[in-house]
Amino acid sequence: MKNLQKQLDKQVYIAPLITFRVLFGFIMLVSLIRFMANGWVDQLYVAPKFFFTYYGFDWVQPLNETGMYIVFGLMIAATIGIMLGSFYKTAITVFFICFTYVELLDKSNYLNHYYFVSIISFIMIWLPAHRFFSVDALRNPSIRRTQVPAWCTGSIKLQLIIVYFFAGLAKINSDWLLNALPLKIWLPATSDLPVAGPFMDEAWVAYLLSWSSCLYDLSIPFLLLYKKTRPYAFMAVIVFHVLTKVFLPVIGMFPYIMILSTTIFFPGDRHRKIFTTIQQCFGRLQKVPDTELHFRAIHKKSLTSLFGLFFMLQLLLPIRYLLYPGNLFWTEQGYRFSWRVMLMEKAGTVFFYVRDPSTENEAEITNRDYLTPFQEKMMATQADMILQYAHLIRDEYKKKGIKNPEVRVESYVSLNGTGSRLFIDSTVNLAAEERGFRHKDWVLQY
Amino acid sequence: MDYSTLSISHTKTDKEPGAKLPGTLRLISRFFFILTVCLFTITSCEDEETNTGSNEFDRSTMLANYAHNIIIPNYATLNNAVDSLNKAINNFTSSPDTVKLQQLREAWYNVAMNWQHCSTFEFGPASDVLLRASMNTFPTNVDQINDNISWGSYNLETAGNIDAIGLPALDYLINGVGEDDESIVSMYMNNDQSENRKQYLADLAAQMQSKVSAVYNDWVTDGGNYQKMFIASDGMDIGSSVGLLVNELNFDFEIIKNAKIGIPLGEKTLGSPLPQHVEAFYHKQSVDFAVEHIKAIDNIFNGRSRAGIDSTGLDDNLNALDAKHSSGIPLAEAINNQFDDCISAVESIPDPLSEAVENNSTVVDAAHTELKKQVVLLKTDLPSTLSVLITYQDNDGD
Repeated sequence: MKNLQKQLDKQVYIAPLITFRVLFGFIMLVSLIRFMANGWVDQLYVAPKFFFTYYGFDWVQPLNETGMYIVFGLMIAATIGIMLGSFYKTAITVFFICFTYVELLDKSNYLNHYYFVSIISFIMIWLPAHRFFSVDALRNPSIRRTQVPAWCTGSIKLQLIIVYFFAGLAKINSDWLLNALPLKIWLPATSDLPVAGPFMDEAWVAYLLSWSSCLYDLSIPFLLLYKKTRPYAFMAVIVFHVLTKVFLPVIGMFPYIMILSTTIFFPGDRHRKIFTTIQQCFGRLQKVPDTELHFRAIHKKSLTSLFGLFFMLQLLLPIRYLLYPGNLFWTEQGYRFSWRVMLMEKAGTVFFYVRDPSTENEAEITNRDYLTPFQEKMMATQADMILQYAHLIRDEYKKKGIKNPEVRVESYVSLNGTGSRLFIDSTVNLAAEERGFRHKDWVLQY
Repeated sequence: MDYSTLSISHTKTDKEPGAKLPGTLRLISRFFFILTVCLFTITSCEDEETNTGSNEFDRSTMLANYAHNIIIPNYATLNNAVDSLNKAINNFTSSPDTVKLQQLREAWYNVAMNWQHCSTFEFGPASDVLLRASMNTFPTNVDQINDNISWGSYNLETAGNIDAIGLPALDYLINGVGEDDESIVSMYMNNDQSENRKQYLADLAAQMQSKVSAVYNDWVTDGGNYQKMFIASDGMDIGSSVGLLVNELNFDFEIIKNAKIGIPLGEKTLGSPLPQHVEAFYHKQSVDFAVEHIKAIDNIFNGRSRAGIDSTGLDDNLNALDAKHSSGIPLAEAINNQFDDCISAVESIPDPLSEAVENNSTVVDAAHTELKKQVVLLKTDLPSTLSVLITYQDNDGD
């Protein structure tokens, strides 16, 4: 324990953290511009009439159109602040709050890489990433440091290890390894690729990519930790993520974010050389004497508890699914926030029926009347969203003057191309079921 | 645990020279090296390879079949039918009588039947002119039509007029403005608004003609040549032709289930039927049109032309992927069986549908159930095997 403490406090070069700050700010800036340019602010946060909030976060509500654009404007300003290290602490805090706010608005838009961005920016709030090569340090040279305690870069590395390792663990399942699913379904869709295309119909390619990506996820963080394997590992990082981008074009910014993030595994002197070169280019190389950053005891103590708690949660969240019975991929109870990335092909169709118990008359709901096509698609395969939507319908029909409307669904889901089958018990009145983390016994077993 | 691993790495990376590597890690890193080399070899050396494998499927061949043998011929036929409709209207309005009214009805029926074979293709040129909504938004708004006629001035392109134009509005004007043929004809002769009414009839047909011919011309080689782009866009991402086709095929089939059968049956109104909401309410052959529409989508799914020539279609794509239904039979077969069940179930509804939804609701309900089963297959099984995204907007996934 004492030894661990010593290792965490050991002074190391700040440079990897600085590179990380600059690259993170940069890639977030690019992501946000791309997000806005694609018109997704309107599509995802202005157009919908109903939002699938997270349980316990129903109070997180969208602003109007202007408000949403202001939030995105704030985020863009914050990413520039992060990149330049200008008013860093404010910038990273604003970024974390705005980004997390937007992500909490609607779980239809949940992506593992958005979650990753949220928690990395949370970690970065507490890191001294502005104490070198930053506008803040230029303005106030007294805060400049060349050395920081090892835990500063270590916390980001640990988070990356968690991401990769759990992503790899999640791939150890029979569909992925023994049947090469869902890659066997997805890869033929890319058979129009110029060179590799013709191979994408071959089963062995799906198996090769399934097995190697599993092995990659499980081992890459450790290969990045060792000096000897690091260059190969980083090459593998680039190849792997570029390949995922080629084969699964819908994957968005995730590959780029991961490639840039893993640079933090390179040692301090490597990063330092980069900054020296940049400074030389600007002709203002000044020999900075090594200065160490030591946190005050109380500050250190509270950070240790905070990070201890945080990482404990990070280790527990991905395995919380063990508390639920049934097939995880089918029920998705404990699926989110667990680094299950591109693990399954799932599609569904749901018909909602609302019934007036006093007359026994029944109406079918046209989902497009309440949801965007994208929300409908996401809702169709996820039980907690089906329940939320059922409650929306219940409330709408109460407003229309029907007492105690009953809501039932006929829901079909196909998992990994096995064909559609009934997903939810169609006799259960969902209007009477409560939301929450308890096991949903009205989800049929796979 | 993880922290200790982490800090060891710091010791190694920041100060000490690399320690000896554990054997397994060395093995894994070698594996990656070899894998990388393999992947580069695949992706760089084999570009001369041609698609000869038995399970390979060429989507551009399929798209070419859709463009050349289905979409363009169907638009061409529709375009001709709309031309004839215009002529019939001119003929009728020049000197209205019951014979010409009958000829006009036949021309209208011909357009309506042909429209069923084009309704699916609401992407590219058709979506530019909102063809589907302009052709066939029903129920038509009789008050709006009569207001337009009595005002004598209107803009048929506005959203407010979307339910006062197209086939349903024409249906009302030639079948619904009087009790019998004589009284309908008299509305175009001895009525204070007969001139305006004739003009409205002509304007509706002219609007239809301009939209349909614009779409047709956009598709053909010596016009906008959209077919070239359609065939070339043979990927599977959002906006690719297969994606557009499957999405719209789905949407169109749901129109049959919801708008054509479900809503008149009372699907949205707690079981109280809405007879006036059927397609072609005044013409009264709603079931015919619904059956023709299902047959049209059946043809499209199978890549079959209206002459019955079966070529490469989505069914072949599913078979090439060896797609199975949950019962174990091939998915394409399951979908085709369900098309048959839908057709026979809808065919057994006696026309007029507007009466059947009230007097014969069990038969209509049975048809509705068969249609629903097909919606599931088309919306869930088909896209999830083809890996097509059923969504109308671009979005990241992970």
